[in-house]
Amino acid sequence: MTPATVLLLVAALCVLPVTADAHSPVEGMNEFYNGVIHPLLVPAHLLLILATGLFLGQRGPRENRFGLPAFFLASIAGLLMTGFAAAGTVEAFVLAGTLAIGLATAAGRRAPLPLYPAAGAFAGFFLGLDSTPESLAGAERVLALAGTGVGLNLWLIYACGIADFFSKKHWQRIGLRIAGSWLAASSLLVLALTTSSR
Amino acid sequence: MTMTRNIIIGALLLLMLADAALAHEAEGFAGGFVSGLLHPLFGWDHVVAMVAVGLWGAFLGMPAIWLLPVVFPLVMALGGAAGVAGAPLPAVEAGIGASALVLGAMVALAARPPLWAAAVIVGVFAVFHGHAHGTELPHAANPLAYSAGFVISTGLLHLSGIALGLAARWRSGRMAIRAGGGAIALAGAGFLTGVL
Repeated sequence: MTPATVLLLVAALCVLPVTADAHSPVEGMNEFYNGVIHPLLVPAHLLLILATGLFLGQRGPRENRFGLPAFFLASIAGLLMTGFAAAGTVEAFVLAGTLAIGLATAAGRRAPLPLYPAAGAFAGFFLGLDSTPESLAGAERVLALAGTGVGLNLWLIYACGIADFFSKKHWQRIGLRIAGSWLAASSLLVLALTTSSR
Repeated sequence: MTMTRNIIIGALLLLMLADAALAHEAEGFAGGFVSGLLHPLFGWDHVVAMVAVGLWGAFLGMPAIWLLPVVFPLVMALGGAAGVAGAPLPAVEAGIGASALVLGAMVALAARPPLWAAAVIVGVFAVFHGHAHGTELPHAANPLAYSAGFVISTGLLHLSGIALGLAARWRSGRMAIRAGGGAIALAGAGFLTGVL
C-alpha cells in the first residue's frame, strides 16, 4: 500500500459524519448529570437563572410562594415541548427575559404580586424550551431532559437562597440591584446583536 | 500519476473536515469573558473615566454613591446596542476623552449639581463608552460572555473609584480626591488633544 493510498484512507475516515453536539457534553458523565449541569454551561441560561433567582429572592417568602412553583411547572412544560421549537429561535426570549427581570431587580421596588409567578413561569418555560438535546433519542433523551429539569430548578433555588440571604441589610440590597443591572446590561447587548444579525 | 491523484483526492477530503454543529454558544466562554473583562482595563481613557464616576458618586454621597453604578451599565448597554445595530455615533473617541475631562473636573471642583443633572451628565458619556465596547461585540468569541466581562469590569472600576472616594469623610482625603479629579481632567485634556 503506497503512502498516498494510506493518506486517502485516513482522509476518508476523517470525513465520516460525527455526532452533532448541542453544547459539548462532559465526557464520562451520563446523560442525566449532563442535563443537570446543562444550565451552567450555557451562558444565556445561567444569566436568566441568576436574574430570576435574584428577583424572587430579593423579596420574602410571600412572593416566592408562587414564583418557584410557577417556574417548576413552566420548566416541565417547556422541556416537554422542546421538540416543537425551531433551533435558534428561543434564545432571544431567554435574553429578553434576562433583560426584563434584571431591570425589575435593578429597580428594587416591590412589584405587584402576580409579577413574581409570571416572571418564574416565563423563565422556566423558555429555559426548558431552549434545552433541546439534539443528538439524543429515546431513553437517553428522557434522561437528559429529566436532568435538565432538576438542574434548572436546583440552580434557581440556590440563586434564590443566596439573594434571600443577602437581602437583609441596606448595602446588601444595593448589591442585588447592581447585580440586576449588570445582568440586564449584558443581555441587552447580546439581544441587540442577535436581532441585528437576523 | 495514481499517487498524485490520490494525494489530491486525500487533500480535498481533508478540506471537507467539519466541526460538530453547536446549538449554543458555550464554546469560547472563558476567552470571551476574559477579553471582555480586559477590554475596559486596556484603555486608559476608559479606566480614568470610570474611576471618576465612582469618585464623583462617593463625593455626592447618598443616593448617588449607589445610583450611578446601577444606572451607568444600563445606559452604557444602550450605547453598545446602538453600536451593534450600526447606528452611527460621531466622535466616539472625543466623547470618551471629554468624559474624563468633564467628570474629572466635576470631582476637582467638588461640584454638587442636582442628582438628575449628575445622572444625565454621566449617562451621556456612558453612551460613548458603550458604543466603543459594542463595536467589538460581533467579533467576540462568545458575545454574551464578552458583554458580561466588560460590564463587570466597568462596575468594578466604579467600585474602585467609590472605595477611593470614601476617603472624602476626612479633610485631607477630600483634598487628595479633588487633586485626583484634577489629574483625571488633565488626562482627559491629553486624550482630546492627542498628547496621551
